[in-house]
Amino acid sequence: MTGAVSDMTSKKFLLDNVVWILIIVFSILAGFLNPFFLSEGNLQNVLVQATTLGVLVLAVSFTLLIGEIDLSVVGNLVFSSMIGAYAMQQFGVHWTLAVLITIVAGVLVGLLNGYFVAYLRMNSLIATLAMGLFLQGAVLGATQARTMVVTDEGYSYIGSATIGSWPVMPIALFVAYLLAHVVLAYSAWGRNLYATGGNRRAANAAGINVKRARLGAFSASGFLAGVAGFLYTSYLGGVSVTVGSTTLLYAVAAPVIGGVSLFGGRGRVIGMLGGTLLITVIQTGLQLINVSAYYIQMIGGAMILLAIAVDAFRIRSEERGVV
Amino acid sequence: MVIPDGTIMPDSLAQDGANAVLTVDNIFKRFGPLAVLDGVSLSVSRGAIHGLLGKNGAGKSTLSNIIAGLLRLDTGSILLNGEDVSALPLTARKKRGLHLLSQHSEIFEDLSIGENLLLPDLPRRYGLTDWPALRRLAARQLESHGMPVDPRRRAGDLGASDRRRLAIIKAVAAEASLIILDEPTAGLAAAERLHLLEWVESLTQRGTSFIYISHHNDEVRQLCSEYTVLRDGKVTASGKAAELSAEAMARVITGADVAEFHRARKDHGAAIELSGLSFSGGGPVDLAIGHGEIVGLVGLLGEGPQELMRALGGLLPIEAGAVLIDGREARLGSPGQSLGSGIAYLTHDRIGEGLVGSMSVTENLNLGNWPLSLGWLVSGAGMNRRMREARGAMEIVMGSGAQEIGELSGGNQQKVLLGRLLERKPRLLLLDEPTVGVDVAAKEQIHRLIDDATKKGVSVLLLAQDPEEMQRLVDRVVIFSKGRIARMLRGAEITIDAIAEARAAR
Repeated sequence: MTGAVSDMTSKKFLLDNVVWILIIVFSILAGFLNPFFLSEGNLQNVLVQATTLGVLVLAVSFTLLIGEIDLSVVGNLVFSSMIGAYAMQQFGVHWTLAVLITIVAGVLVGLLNGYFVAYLRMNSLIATLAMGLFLQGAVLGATQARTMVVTDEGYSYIGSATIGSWPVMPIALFVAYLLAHVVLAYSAWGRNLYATGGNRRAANAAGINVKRARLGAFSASGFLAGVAGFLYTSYLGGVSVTVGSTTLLYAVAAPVIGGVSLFGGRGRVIGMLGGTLLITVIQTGLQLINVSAYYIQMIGGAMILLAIAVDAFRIRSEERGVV
Repeated sequence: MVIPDGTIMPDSLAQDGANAVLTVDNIFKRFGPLAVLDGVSLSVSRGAIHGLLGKNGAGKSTLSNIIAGLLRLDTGSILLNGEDVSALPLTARKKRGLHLLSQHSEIFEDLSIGENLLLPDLPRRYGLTDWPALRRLAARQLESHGMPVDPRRRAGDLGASDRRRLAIIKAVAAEASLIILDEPTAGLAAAERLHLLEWVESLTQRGTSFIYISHHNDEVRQLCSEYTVLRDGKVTASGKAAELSAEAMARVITGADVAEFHRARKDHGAAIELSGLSFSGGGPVDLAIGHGEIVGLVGLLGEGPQELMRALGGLLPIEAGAVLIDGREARLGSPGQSLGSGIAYLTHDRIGEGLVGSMSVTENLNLGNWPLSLGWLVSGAGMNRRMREARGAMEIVMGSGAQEIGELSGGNQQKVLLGRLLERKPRLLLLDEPTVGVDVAAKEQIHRLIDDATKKGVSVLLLAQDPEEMQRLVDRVVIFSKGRIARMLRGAEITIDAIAEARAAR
């Protein structure tokens, strides 16, 4: 291999994995300022914090891959977990059934979104934004903004239990990413999503049922939002009706940081995980080095800008000559 | 100096330097390890139409992008009207009169024709757009260049050839001294093509020069006064177009004698029957197609043939009637259903409707027809086996199956697309411009592949702009008018002239 070629491939490798490099660079910096950052305890903390966000990131990514977006994931998370908690409180259903109800509620919201976008041809950005507002408003109204406490031990197990000194919750994160990887990279259904996002007309002409694929992507997004709702409620011990709007922005930014194209058709599951971890590492790191809470959001925004700038640079270097 | 096979050294190689608009001298350009342009020189005379020929991947687009300033050259020089412009950006070259008009017409569909023509320098008054002046100015320019249309009309409503005219007028009005036209007649009907070419020729009388890039060798021989042929990044021939025969031209382009493919015609038993088929854009159509028969469809755009194909392929709704395959009614309605019934449509729009650019060659070959394991997982081994088979059978030139489809040349992309359809084992193949944007050698290979398919009993409907291509392939010609079959040509009636005539007449 000539020098020029290995130069190009190593440059491409660096740019493809810029998320991981940024994670390492930031971790070293934060560890230098506060050694606790690099401790086992903080690693556990980061992974626990990353779990809910990570599942939401997957939810958004499924719709980004078909060239659409689901902004209702946070509203769906709150809504579906409220339905599950309500079933437990009012009807005393077993916690396993409550989990199922939570997830089914998420899927139904996703199906509705998918019907709007795939069959009624509504714009996904606005339709899901409105759906998210509607759901969050509905929860606020129904609960009068009071937190619904969930005391069931079974329901709370995954969010609070430990094995030895390690929390159980990150297992859910890794299982979710492993399954998503298998489905997206290897299943026919997953390849149909990539094809639909890459070129909808070509996918249709090749015999793929494009409407069904698009409906499926939104259903998957709703399913994952429901799962995230269960995980988050289990972790908090109750339904928090006011999940911050920054969570939604992070859930959209993370896949893009990890290389998922906003135009559809491109993006790897490992990149989605990288984006999630980078955002979580930045947030917890800034807290640990005593940056004022008022500045954390600003610095988080700046880091995301940096990551996207690197991504834009990567795309530019691949498509040189195109304006 | 080593002269490659088939090189023609013209008597007129020594150009009159003083009379040249553009002199390109010894340009080198590499992408990574690949030398795309390997010492290319050419010279365009004032008021000339200079044909730039070559297979896909020969370096035509790279060269025109370098001349226009879209790409930087590694070494070499570009003189425009005697001035070295090789270090100047695109906009500066445009100001000096050098314009590149690419295949995809660059117009703003939702703006008016007048705005399209005059942007970015709209006439102003008190800092605001002066609409009456804009209309007057645009109308004058349009009229003086032989395109009298109302400049207030929406540009998106113009037909394909008028869009190209508009782009060319815009360049000419900006006092272009050299305009590079990249495949300006792609996708136009024969009559429109001829009109556009004659019109371009008339513009040279005002002293404008053109570089004309085309796959149509006959167009170049008709239109161009001088030409340059590129092969593998080198100039293999250049000179006066009139000195070159059609065969010699094809030879210098491909580097070897291209054996023209001709089909043996024979009788066929009926296999596919269209009965009373109505679809949006035409019908009712009754037509029986034999086993292994190729039926050519002729008609103007919007007169029915393409609509019929798209309806059969599941891309347009069928309103009434039935399609019988071996006497059994086929279920149509979506591409998936058509493919399932044994009807496969090869699109004319390879990039827009054929390929998924973000996917690999192998994935594009298997798209929508994934080989499965366990019933839901895509079998990588199965995909690779199909890729190997297709690559061998169709002589697809590629690096590996994992590379992105966009890195292949047009001809090889088309083979991948055709391979995807043949893998479905279709009974009826609908070919909508099967060799559009494909080089001469790949064209012959694709013709052979189509013929091979018919030998296995596949019936074919063919749509092709080029009467010669149609004449060589078809067993029968069906002529459409206003959505219905008007008449047919059989046997000895099928001549290039008869097809061309049928296309021009209504």
